[in-house]
Amino acid sequence: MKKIYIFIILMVAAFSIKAQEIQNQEFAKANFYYNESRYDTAVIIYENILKEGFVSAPLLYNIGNTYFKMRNYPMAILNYEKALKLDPTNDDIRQNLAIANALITDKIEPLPVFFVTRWWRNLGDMFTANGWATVSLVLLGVLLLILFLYFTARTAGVKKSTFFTGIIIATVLIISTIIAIQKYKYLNSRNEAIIMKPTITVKSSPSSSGVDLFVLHEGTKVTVIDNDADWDKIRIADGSIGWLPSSSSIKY
Amino acid sequence: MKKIGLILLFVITAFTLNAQDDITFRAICKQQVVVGEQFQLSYELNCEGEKFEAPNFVNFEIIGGPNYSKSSSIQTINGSVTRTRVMTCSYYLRALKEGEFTIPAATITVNKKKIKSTTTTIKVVKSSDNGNGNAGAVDKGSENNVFLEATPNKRTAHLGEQITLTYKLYYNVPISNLSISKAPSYSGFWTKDVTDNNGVLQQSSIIKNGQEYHVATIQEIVLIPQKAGTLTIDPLDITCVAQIRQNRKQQSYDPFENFFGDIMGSSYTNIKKDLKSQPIDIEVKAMPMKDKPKSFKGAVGQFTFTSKIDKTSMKSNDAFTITYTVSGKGNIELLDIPRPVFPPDFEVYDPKITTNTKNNTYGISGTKTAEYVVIPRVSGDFTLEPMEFSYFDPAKGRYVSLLSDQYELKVERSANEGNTGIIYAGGQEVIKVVGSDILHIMTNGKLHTNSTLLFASPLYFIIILVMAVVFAAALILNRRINKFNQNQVLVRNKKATKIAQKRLKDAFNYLKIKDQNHFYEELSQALWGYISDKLNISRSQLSMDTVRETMNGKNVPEDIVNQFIDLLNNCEYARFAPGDPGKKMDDLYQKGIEVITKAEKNLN
Repeated sequence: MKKIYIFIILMVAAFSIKAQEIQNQEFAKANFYYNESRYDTAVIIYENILKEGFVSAPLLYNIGNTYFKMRNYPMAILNYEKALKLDPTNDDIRQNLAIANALITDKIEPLPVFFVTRWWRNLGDMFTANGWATVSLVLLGVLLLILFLYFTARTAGVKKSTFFTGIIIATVLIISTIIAIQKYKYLNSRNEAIIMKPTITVKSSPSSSGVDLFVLHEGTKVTVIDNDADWDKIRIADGSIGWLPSSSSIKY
Repeated sequence: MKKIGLILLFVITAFTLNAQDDITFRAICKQQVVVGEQFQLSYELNCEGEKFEAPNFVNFEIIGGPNYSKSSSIQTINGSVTRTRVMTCSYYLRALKEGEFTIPAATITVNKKKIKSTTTTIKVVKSSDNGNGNAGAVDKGSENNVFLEATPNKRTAHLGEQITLTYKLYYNVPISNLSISKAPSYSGFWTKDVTDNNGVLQQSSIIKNGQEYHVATIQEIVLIPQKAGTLTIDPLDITCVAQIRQNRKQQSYDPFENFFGDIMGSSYTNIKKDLKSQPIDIEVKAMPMKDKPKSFKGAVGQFTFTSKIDKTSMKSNDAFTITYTVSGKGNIELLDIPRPVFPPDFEVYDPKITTNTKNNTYGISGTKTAEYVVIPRVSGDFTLEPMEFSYFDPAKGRYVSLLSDQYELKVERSANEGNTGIIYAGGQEVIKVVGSDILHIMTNGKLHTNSTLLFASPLYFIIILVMAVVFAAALILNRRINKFNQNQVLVRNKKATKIAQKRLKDAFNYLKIKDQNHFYEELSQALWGYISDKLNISRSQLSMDTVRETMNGKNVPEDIVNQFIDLLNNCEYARFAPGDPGKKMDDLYQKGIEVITKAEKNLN
C-alpha cells in the first residue's frame, strides 16, 4: 500500500517534469514564430501553454507582445497587466503596457495618489509575491537566530545589541509579511478587468434602463468593486463609478 | 325718346312749381354702431343748397365722402303737381371708440341763408367676437363703390396653427392702378404670401348688401401665430384709381348741366382712392399643457414622419446616410426635425435640411427632410433608437407622436481602423511613442504551474515550522548543555579537594624519597588542578593572571590569593633553585596544604 502511494507520487512528479519540459519546448517554438512575424501561429501556441496550466510572467508578456503586433490592443493590455501582476518588478512589461495604453481611445487622468501609498506600492513592487514571501521567511530565520543569541548571551553587551537588532529585524519582518499577505491576496483576487467591447456605456444602475454616465472603449482598465447578477460595479482610474455588463470586460 | 319726354316734363314743371317753403336739413344715420364698424352718415336737404360745411367728426374716422347726390321727383296728385328735390351728402365713417357721441350740426346755405342740420346721437358699442367680421360692410344703398375687406378663415387659433387671411376688393366701378401702399407688419405672426393670381386679378361677381359687386382677391396670406394672446392685424392700405361717375360742378344742381354732363359722358372722374381694410383681432390660444409630449417642438398641423437608411451593415470609417422626413400640412417651414442620437464614436456631420412646400388657399403643405451623413469610427453592433416626432393637431385638439424606424447597425472592423489615429473623439494627446516599437519578447521564461505561490503554501508553513522547531530545539539543547556543564562544575568542585589531597599524598611520597622533580610536579599539579576544578577554568586558559582574576571575582581575600600565587611561583622556581632541597620541599609541602585549606574555606 505504501509502495503504491510512493509510486503514484513519483509518477506524477515525473509526468509534471516531463510536461513542463514539453511546454518549455512549445514556448521556444512560439518565440520562434514570433520572430518570424507569424503572430497568428505564435499566439495559438502561447495560449495553449496557458491552457495546459502553465504560466509565467514572460509567457504572458510574450502573448501581450503578440497581440500588440496583431493590433489587438485590448488583449495586449490584458496580458501585460496579467504579467505585471505576476512580476511587478519587470520594467519591460511596464514599458510595453504604457505603449499599448497610449494606443487605446480612453485617456483617463488618474486620481493623485497619497505619497505614503505611493511609497508603499513602490516598496511592494520591489519583489514579486514569492520574493516577499522568501524575504519574510529569511527575516524570520534571522530573527530566530538573534533571539537565540539573546537568550544565550552571557554578557550584558551581547544581550543589549541583540535586543535592538531583534527589534529592527522584527519590524522589517512584520512589514514584509504584510506586503506578502497583500501580494498573496492581490494575486488571488480577480477584481481588475479590461474592457473588450469597442465602446460601452457605463450605466448608473445594474440595468440597461439606467442613466448613461460615461462611455468607455476597449482596452481601458477598470476595477471591479461589486457584482450584481450579470453586472459589475466598476471604478476607473479617475474615481468615476458605474455599472457595466459583465460580458463587456475580461477580469484577471 | 324717353329722355326727350323727361326733358319736356322738366321744362313744364320748372315754371309751374313753387319752391317749397319748409326746408328740412336732416342728419340720418344708424342709432347704434359697433366699434370699428363702417357706417354711413347722410345729410339730406329737401331743396337745393350750396356751401355745405361738414361738422367736425370727433371720435369718428372719415373713410369716404363727402359724396354728393341729388334727386328730384315730381308727383301729380289730383292735378296738383308736387316737385320734390332731395340733396344728399353722405360720409362713410368708422367709430373709433365706445360711447355715446353726438355729431354736431352741419350747415348749408340755401337762398343765401345758413341752415343748420339736426344733430344726431350715435351709440358706439364694443364689438363682440361673434359680431360681423365684415366691418367694412356697406350700408345698403350706399354709394361706396370701392372697398376692401379682410377675411381670416378663423378668428381663434392655436399657436402655430395656420390662418389664411384673404384681402378682397369689392368694387362696382371700374378701377385701375391698384397698388398696396402699406402692408401691415403682422407682428406676432410668421407670414407667407400664398396669393395665387399671377399678377392678374381674378374677378367674380357677387351680390353684397343688395348691390352687385365685382370681387377680386388682392392678397392671400398664411399667418402662423408665434405667440399666445390677442393679436391684432393692422389694416392693409391700398390705393387705386376709381372711375366714379361724378358731376364736375358739384355746387351746381342745374338739371341741364347734369343732363348734358351725362350726355357728354364727362362725369366719369378718375379719383384716387385710399382704401383701408379693417383691423382684425385674432385670439391665439396656447398649446394645452396636458399630455404634451417631450418631443414636441412646435409642429402644428397634420404630418407623417418617416426615416430611411441607405445601409445597415458597413465597415468602420465607412459613411452611411440616414434621412428623416416630415411631410404633411402645417407649419412645415417652422418645425424642427428632431436630431437623432447616434452612438458615441459616430462622426455625424451637420444635416442637410431641405424643405419643399406647396402653398394654396388651404395653407402650406409639403415635406421637410433632414439628411445625416454618419461615419462609424469603431466596429461593433449598434442600435439606432427610433426617434419621436410630435405635433399638435389643431383639428383634433390633441398631440400626436410618431416614431421612426429602429435600425440595427453592424459595423465590421475595417483594416485601417487602428491606423487612423485621429479618430479619438476623446481628444487624446499626440502619441509620444510614434515610430518606436514595443520591447522584444522574453525567451528565458521559466514556466511554472498556476499555483506556485510561496506565501501561505504548505512549503511556507513547513519552513516556518522547521525554523520554529530548530529554534526551540536549539534553545532546549542550550539549556541542557548549560545544566550539564553546571553539574560538571559541581562535580569537579567536589572532587577538587580529593584530587588535591591525592596529589599532595603522592608529593609527600616523593618528598620522602627525595625525588625533587616528581615532588614539584605533583605539588604544582595539585595546586593547578585544584584551582582549575574549583574555579571552573579550563586548563588551556590557566595562567597566573586568570587565576588572580577569577579568585578576585570570587571574593577570595587578597593575602590568600597572593600566597597561592607565590606558592605557584615558588614551585616553578624551586625545581631549579640550588640549596638544600629537602628542607625547601618540606617547607613548600606545608605551605601547599595550608594554602589549599585556606582556599577551600574561602571558596566554599
